[in-house]
Amino acid sequence: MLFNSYVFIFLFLPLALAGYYLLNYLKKYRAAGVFLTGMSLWFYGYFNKSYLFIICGSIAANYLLSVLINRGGVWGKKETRKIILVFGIFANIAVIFYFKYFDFFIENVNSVFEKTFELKNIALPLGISFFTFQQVSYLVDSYRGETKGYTFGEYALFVSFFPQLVAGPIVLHNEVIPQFRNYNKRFFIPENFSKGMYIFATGLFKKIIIADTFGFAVTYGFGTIPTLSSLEALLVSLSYTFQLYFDFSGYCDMASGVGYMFNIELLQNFNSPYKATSITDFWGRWHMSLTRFLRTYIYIPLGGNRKGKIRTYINIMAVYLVSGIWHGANWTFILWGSTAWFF
Amino acid sequence: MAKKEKRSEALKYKIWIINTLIFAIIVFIIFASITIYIDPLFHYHKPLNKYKYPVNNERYQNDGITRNFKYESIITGTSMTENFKKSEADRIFGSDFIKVPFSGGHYKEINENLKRAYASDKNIKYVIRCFDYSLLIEDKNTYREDAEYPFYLYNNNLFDDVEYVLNKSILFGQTRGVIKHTKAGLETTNFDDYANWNSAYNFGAETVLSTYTLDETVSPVQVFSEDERRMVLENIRQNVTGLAAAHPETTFYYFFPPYSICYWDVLKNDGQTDWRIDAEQAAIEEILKYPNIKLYSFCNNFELVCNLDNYKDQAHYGEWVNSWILEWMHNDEYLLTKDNYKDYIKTIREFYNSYDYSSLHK
Repeated sequence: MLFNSYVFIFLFLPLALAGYYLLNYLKKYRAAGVFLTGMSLWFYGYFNKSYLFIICGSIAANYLLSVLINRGGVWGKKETRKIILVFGIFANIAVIFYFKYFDFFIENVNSVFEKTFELKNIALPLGISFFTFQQVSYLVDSYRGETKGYTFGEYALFVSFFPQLVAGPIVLHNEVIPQFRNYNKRFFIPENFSKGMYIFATGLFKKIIIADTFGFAVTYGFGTIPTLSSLEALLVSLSYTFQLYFDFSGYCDMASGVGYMFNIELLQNFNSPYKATSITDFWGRWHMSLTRFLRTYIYIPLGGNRKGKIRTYINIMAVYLVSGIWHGANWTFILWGSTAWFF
Repeated sequence: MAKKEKRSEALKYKIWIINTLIFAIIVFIIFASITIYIDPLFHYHKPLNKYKYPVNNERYQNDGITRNFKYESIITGTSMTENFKKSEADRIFGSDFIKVPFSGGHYKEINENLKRAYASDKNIKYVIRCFDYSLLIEDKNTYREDAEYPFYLYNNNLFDDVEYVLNKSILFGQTRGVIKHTKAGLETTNFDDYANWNSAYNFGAETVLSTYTLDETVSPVQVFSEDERRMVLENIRQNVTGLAAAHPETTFYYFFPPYSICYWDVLKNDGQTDWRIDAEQAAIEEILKYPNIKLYSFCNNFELVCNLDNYKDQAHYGEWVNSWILEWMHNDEYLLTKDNYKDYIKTIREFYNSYDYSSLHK
């Protein structure tokens, strides 16, 4: 279900809000949480019912691993915590790899070794990168001992909470779960709700009126590349730049707006990125939750800038490489990621 | 005091929320009312007398035309029927036709539209429809893949009409289009001109031959399998004969359109000549079981098929061929019957297998 769809605006959202606030009003806090998780799964399964198996399996498996880590490993051996963590990270990456990169991998094998292995044409479950990265961060935080005491219900709601499920921002457990635990936030707060409506409407405007309008120019331009003049090509590329930004940031605004309607504050994902004065500044403003994830869970654990100049460069390159892979199963993205660090 | 201030602050936000929601609802109502009133896609009613409607979007307007226009008979099918003229059909058949073609429409799509006509309490006298060979051997539920289907228009569910009445593309495109069309002093598109592409193309051998190239290697002969026979029969039963059986009051004028010799050239090169003819035979045998279907094929009109001046590409013929087809059907020329269909099949099999296709490319 998309935020800018009729079914979301006229049916799903009013139902989700009414049910959630009614249950909380009746002081059925747990039931309200379960209700919201159920609605989130409906939201996700609306794209494709089979996706539900993937997200439910992923949530259950990751929660189980985090419990094992929190309990001090298995067989009474503390060292196994690290093994479980590494296994969890690899398992999550393997799932993403399968859905996102398996065909890409086969295409490359076929082209390098001149083979004809059949492509699987796997349908990519929406938002799989978002909820997988979110859960990887949770496993790492569990290893650091920061996630004790969360129930399965709280965890499932944290991962599946529909506003941030398919397009981010990538939120951390300590930002969301405490907000759901705060029962003062379980009631209708007019200030937050009005703020939510305003932000949602802004996002909807950015997506439908601005991004989609630039989209017409982009579709036209990409469809007539051989005959474009230099000026037209420049305009098309600028249109694409703006379409991309307004589409993504509009969607994040809508997510943030819906979050506010539920009294849940989500991380700001964009901060006027095209006003940036350098590449470094740009990454501090564009898809900020991904930048934070990469910094916190890749760059700093690799040593950040504390292990000399060469290691710093290698670490930055690793971050951009992962970022490139995140953005798409395509060599152009990997090339982009592995060269962007240079700037 | 602080508590009081907080309460009045909350009240301020509540008022803002209520006002905003009321404003949004009013805007939605105005937005929807305009489209519902003018109804450019005829979803709720036939054209209003005070407006003139451009009729130019088959998949968006045919359903409404089928349900809400007044008529006695229907012309439907693929682009092979787009050049038919209502005025000619009315004159020749003595009826009142509408034309609702679906460019590239598969059997299922066309049949679903006809079912909608019957579901809207229409007493239909004649249905004129073509059967494209190229869409015969396929699953009975296939739809054209590259077409956009506004399925919200194809049902009686009021709730999904929101996609029509609160649709900015419809309001600023089609609804506004009706107002502009009316202001420009134009008339509502008639069923002679609707979907007619004749004047947009050049016809003749040079044009037709430039639209295709043969594979360099000739493919081995393809055999019509039992699975494919089953597929054809299922396609025909679900999407053709089912409706004829349910509506004996209607006479169905169905025909296989006369694709050009170049179409057969490609089939021959692909090893599919007999494969196609076998499929056609299977379909004919099934269709002829129904007395209220009159089935025609013009593939044995070799003078027509081999004269590329009649065509713009391998399959599409000019509007004058549509005029001939109407006359021929009305006079029962090229009618297939249980007695003559085997001779017909034999004739076309011999002709299209032995034709000197190389002469086309000299």
